[in-house]
Amino acid sequence: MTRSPKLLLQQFLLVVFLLAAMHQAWGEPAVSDGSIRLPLPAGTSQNEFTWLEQSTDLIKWTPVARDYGFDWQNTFPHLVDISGESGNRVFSKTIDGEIIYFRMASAQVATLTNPQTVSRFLQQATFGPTRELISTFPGIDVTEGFNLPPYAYFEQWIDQQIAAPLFSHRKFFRERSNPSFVNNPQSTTFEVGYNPSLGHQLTYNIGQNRYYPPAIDPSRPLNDVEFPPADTKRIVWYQAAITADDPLRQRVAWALSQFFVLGEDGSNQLQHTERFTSFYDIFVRNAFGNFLDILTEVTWHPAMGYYLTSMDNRAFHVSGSFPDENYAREVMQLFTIGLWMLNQDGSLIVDEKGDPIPTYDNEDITEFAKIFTGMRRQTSLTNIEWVGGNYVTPMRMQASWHDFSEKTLLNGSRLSAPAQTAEGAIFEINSFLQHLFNHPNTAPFFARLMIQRLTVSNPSPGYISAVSHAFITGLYNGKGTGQRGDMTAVIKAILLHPEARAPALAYDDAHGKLREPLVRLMHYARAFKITSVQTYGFFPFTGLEQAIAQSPYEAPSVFNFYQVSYQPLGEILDRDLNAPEFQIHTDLTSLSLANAIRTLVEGGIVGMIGRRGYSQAHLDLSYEITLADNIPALLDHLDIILSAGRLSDQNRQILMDRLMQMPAATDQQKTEIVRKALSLYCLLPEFNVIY
Amino acid sequence: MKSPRRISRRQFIYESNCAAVGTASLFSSLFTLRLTAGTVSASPPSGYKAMVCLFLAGGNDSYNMLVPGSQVPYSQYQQVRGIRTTDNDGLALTRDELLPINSAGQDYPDFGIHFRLRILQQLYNEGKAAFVSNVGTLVEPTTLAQYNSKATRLPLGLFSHSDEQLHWQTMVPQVRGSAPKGWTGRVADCMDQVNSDGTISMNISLSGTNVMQSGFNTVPYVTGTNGSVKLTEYETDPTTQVAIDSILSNQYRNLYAKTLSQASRGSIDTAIAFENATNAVNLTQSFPTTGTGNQLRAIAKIIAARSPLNMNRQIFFLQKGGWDMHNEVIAKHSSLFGELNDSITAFWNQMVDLGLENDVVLFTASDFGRTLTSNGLGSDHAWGGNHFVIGGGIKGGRIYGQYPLLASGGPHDVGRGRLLPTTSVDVYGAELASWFGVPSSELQTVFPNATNFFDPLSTPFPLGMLG
Repeated sequence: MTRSPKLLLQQFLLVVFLLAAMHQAWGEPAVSDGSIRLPLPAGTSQNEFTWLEQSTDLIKWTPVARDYGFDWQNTFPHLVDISGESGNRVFSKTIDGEIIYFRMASAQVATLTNPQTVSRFLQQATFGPTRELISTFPGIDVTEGFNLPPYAYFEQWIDQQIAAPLFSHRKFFRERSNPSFVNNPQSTTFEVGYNPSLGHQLTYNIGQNRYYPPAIDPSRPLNDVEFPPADTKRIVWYQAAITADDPLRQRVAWALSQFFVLGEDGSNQLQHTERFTSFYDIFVRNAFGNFLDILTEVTWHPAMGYYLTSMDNRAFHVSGSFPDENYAREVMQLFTIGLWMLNQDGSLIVDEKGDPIPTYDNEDITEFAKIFTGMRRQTSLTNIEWVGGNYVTPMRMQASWHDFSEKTLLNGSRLSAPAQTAEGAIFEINSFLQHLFNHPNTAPFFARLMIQRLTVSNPSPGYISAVSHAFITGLYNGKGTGQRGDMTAVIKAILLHPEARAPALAYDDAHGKLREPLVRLMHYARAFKITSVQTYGFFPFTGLEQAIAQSPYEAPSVFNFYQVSYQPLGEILDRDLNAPEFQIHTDLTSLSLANAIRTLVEGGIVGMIGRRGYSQAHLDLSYEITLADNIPALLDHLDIILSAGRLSDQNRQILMDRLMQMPAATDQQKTEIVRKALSLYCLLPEFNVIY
Repeated sequence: MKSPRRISRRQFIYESNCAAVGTASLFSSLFTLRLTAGTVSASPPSGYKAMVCLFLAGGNDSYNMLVPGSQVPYSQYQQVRGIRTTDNDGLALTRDELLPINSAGQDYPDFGIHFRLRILQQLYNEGKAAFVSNVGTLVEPTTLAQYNSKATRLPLGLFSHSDEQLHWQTMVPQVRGSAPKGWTGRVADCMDQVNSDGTISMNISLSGTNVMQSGFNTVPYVTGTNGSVKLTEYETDPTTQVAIDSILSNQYRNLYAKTLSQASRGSIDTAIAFENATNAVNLTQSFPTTGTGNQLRAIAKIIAARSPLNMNRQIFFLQKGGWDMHNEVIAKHSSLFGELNDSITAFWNQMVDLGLENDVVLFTASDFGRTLTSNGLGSDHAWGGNHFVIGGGIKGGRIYGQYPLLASGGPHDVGRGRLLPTTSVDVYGAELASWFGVPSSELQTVFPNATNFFDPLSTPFPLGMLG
């Protein structure tokens, strides 16, 4: 891209119809049998947003239905009744003696340019857009139909990503650490050998002994690649997030790692890398695979066995103690079915009193605790990083510790007593995982969380339903393996749903989400091509847990960094909406993330985000500096790369006013302009929020 | 579909005098506090008082914190928890591992405190500390028979971390989630006018956003062990400051954008006021550099700056994790209680130096107690548990509530030694809230289930511990 495309300013045209005015436009509302029925207008264009609101006092209005060019639908969390054929929809609501006012409005939203559209997509699908990813995107130069269903160009990009070479965190570590690691040709989990041409770049351990990499340049006062050993796994993670050629896979893996959470806090042997990278690789390898494989591998991984204490769990008849309930509880509450019975669209199923229905009770927990017995570490210690045991290869079964009694499942059916062998016990555990996998809750429960991680905080029932459907059928748009739990179908259903793509939704004030702080920081590193010359190209960020409340492997507990249903005070709470990321957006982190980005812009990886008194990586701002004497062009560029075309007129003017005051004669002055622009840009809601 | 959460929340707003005021405001800025001023007609309490909630996240195995000492109940304790042997199956502390104390009012006089909690034994014997036994979440009084026959309403999601942590913080366990808001948040909603000269929220958190301190009109100010964070870019030059002020004062239609810019505005302003006040403080005690030590030092600093901050009432929240001891109780307890002991010792001495030992109360909260029975290595999620309270002019040196019989199949055992609570969290919380100055007429607003357990108007101090 040599030139930024011309910016299309968003023009919002708002027309409000009160109930009286609606008669002419959309026919007579009818009241009978205690309910009101409003005929809804026929479908609008994809650049038009029409919505229906209700109020009881004419002051507070609640949106209850919307049409953004794809027919009328409910908005979260409302499940009202919309009936009739497409083009002839009717909204109806039961009224118990109260007065309800309705109003309808519609707004025109200007389309985004192709690069802006792609940038917005890459904010959802990667750790952030780059100029290269945008300019090479399929169909980037087409003039018509680029952003219209079935979003073929976007699906083409997803298919390319699925085929792209996989960045294995474990492989990256093994190739650059212990010279005695050899390739295991039988391994399907990247048990690769050391690569002598790369050399010993990362710290590793053998038993109690630790081996730091030698200094790259011994004449420097400090060894540039000697880092705290617990940070090695994070250095691998940053490498993947910033440089990997499979950015969609890496972003999906990160989302999965926030569903099947394993944090340092609560783990052992934090100084060791392979146990963590081999666990994380479950998500990398299976990002486009199958949910059941992920659930099964997570359950058998010894790092999880330690974290949620299923490891060395013994049957009552063996220990005289009751089996540990931890994994039995969390595998249901967090990894599969959740606490409450759900419809396929994610809404709660309620009983006749209107109360939600629990998915399990404590007797189920004590029953299922018996299933997770007999799981123990493998003893083999060859060809892995180890200390005090094997925390890398999947756990084995010690049959003598397993509870072989018959178990009652959630649906009341019996899991018949298995053969009293290791194979029988393994079969029982995997059968139980399959039981949870097939539970009607798993699809909508997982769908909602993955949507929240990638695209929007408050998906409509229709959106959740579409993703659940892809999970259940294993098909997206008729394509896929047809196996329940097909992750490719799920990911496509999330990223290619009109609710993730349609530009008119910019006018829905509840659309979108606050982006994760770690994603926002990685976005800057990627967009401005961070490089490091002294560290084998590693990006040794440090202290991010403190600075931005989010860091790889540092979720404070199995409940992740934030809860799915977190509601910050104010309108989000008043409307009963959710915004998980606001749970870690505090008085401290809201400002220190901006400080961290400013540090990165001004000095690279140093200070509050670095390990050394000198910078160990820096942003490449050379392209931006070429635009510094043309502030409008600079802002056009930043609007594409950082805010996906959402920069408002007002904020554009504020930045113009500030930046135009700065002299742009010398290279140094141009650099100062770019740095000021980037430091201010990270404070804009248009950067921090995607909508 | 009917949304139970939403309806429940509305009920609370309409039922409560304090919480129904004003539009919900955002974060702890100078401006939002004004919205709630003057919402309660009672005359403002005088003097300074602070509550410090130490939340033991994960569920403290508190029947190893406070243990029966008399012979028969100790043997029962030993039997249900299991004698420790070389293969590490049991969880019972030996007599050598207990610091002896006495209590009137229980079935037997002798008890023991975990050996690492020396400060508790000292303050207990000086009458400056007390325990409250078998506290837990309840909707209404419930017997074992009622529990088994499901005759009473029970907390939703019993024994689950996420639910029970929220229930301890909302004190409305019949509602799932955070919709009822937190009890000290509701205290602040009622009492904000007490700090009407203040610039910082009444609730201050050292451990991030939390439900306990979030009310309908106020949220905690979140600070860190290194003090507040200022926005670097804001400090660079006046024209940049104007630009940032303009960005934050723009109207944003998108809710997340709007919430974000309002939050940033509040954080910038509060950090400036906060730093100016706390910078001048020098403490007289040195605190351990542990997580808890650093947090209690930061709290002590803010308490010491109460005059420049114009604070008459403050509520602090700090969280210490690591109590989810499925796999190991004995060694982990020893380490965590050691950390608590050293940090609380420094904090207590600092409060004495500030002359505030009767004006500051430190109390514990936790997800739940744990199973009395072992799972082979540790213990699992349970229900009622023991808690301690220090300072505040307490009538100390005794155990409040009913210390239960520790035995499998005992009168409170709902299975595996999960104990049905005998003191509800409402009783525990109301005792603290009344001491803090919440008028008895408002106790039911703060504790919606209170009347199921006691009469707030006639008995605002249901335990008789702090009043």
